[in-house]
Amino acid sequence: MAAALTLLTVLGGIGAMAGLALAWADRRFPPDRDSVVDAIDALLPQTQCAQCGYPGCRPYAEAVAGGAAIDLCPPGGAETVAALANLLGRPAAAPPVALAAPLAVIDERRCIGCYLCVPACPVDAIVGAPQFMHTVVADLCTGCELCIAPCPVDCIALVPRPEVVDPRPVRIMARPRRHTPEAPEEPCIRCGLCAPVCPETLAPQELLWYARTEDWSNAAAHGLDRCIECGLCNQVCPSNIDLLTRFTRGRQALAAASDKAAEAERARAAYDRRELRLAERARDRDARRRERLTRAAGRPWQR
Amino acid sequence: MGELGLILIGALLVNNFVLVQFLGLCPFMGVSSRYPPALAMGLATAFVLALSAALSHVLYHFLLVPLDLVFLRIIVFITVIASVVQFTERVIRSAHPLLYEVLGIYLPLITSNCAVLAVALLAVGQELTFLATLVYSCGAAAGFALVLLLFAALRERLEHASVPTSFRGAPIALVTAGILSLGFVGFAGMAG
Repeated sequence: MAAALTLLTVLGGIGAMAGLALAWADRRFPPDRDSVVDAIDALLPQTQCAQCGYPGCRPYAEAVAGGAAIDLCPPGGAETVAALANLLGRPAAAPPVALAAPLAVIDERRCIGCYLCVPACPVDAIVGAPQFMHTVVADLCTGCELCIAPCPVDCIALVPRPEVVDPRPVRIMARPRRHTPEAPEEPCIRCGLCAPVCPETLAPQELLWYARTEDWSNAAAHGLDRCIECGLCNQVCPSNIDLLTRFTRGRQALAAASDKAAEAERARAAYDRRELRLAERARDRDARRRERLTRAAGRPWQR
Repeated sequence: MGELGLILIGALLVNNFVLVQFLGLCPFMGVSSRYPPALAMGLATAFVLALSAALSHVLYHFLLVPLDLVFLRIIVFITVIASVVQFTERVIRSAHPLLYEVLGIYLPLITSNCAVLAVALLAVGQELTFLATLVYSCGAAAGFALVLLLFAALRERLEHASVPTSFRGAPIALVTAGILSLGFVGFAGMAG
């Protein structure tokens, strides 16, 4: 019993002594968290973009000191992750997935050059001057969204950053002009390629038929007067037939013919009016003459 | 003096606690991946080791032996070690908070470092005087720190070596530790 009492006293005494010593140490050496936060904060990019989910760089540094993930800072990128991992002795996540930041893109057609987005950008990724269109330097943009709110015309959008840039150059599709005046015309093979391309839904192949014989009135009946002379039928013709020149000539002939017809019509109308007028005048003259004769017949003595 | 020198060399190299007696392997593998934390860990452990061995010696000879409570030595020593570790942890957290962050869980784990308890137990078991215990524990502490630094330096070099894929990481580290251990076996017979 006495032994047990001694045992408990000894153990309790040692424990109490240790507790007292630790309590004194706690007072004598208060924990200093600020210097850790300072060291972490010094490694952060200080863009205050809040993409990490904390209000700014300092709050994020405090969170990291408290055990938050070190790969939440898109502006800092992989370099900051590596630096933080080195500082804190934590493993750096191999591919920082959280860092796939989007890219801000200015719709340059809508940008009014107000310059409000340029001071807002924490990394100076927007180039431009007041009254001039601005654009975003993709390599510098961190996707922090800070430029979006100031834009008065909403011309800035965040787009996913393209994964791989296609190294192939852009190809311009330029088709060679099919109709070349040097190449000889070949007979129409009635392939019908010209019909679907005609924007006026004419049948150039049939019009060609009438054009060969200069039967312009029939051509007009088949819609030659609606031809807009765009030349698409020339482009597609495999026989290199110059339809356009023929149709132009036909339209000129039609126009001339209609002018001539109008002239003839006008002349005939004039002639008709003159005939009418002459006939009326002759009738008047006959009438007057008959009246005079009648009056003379009533006075035989004058004869 | 000659005897104390032998004790020091014996604890430091010949019977090195890590590489010859294979004690305290947990921080030896855990904190040795880079040099600066290894230095800090080595110093912290050395401090705890020396202080707890001295305190244990005092408690053992002036409390446990007179009261015939020698059977309590393990639990008393562990209490002492835990208290010293807590004390060290507070000091480091106040004086060098960044180091506290870097050492992380390994700092409180010094408590369970078997080398620390082993030094206290072995010193008591060999019936060393207080001065001899102090020398012995300092030698052990220096030996632990030395081995930790050697190994950290080796591992920093290993990071740039072209290691076969299947050996990368822990396997090559263990192989290196084994070869380092073979080197320390060469000290056998020098002293102690």
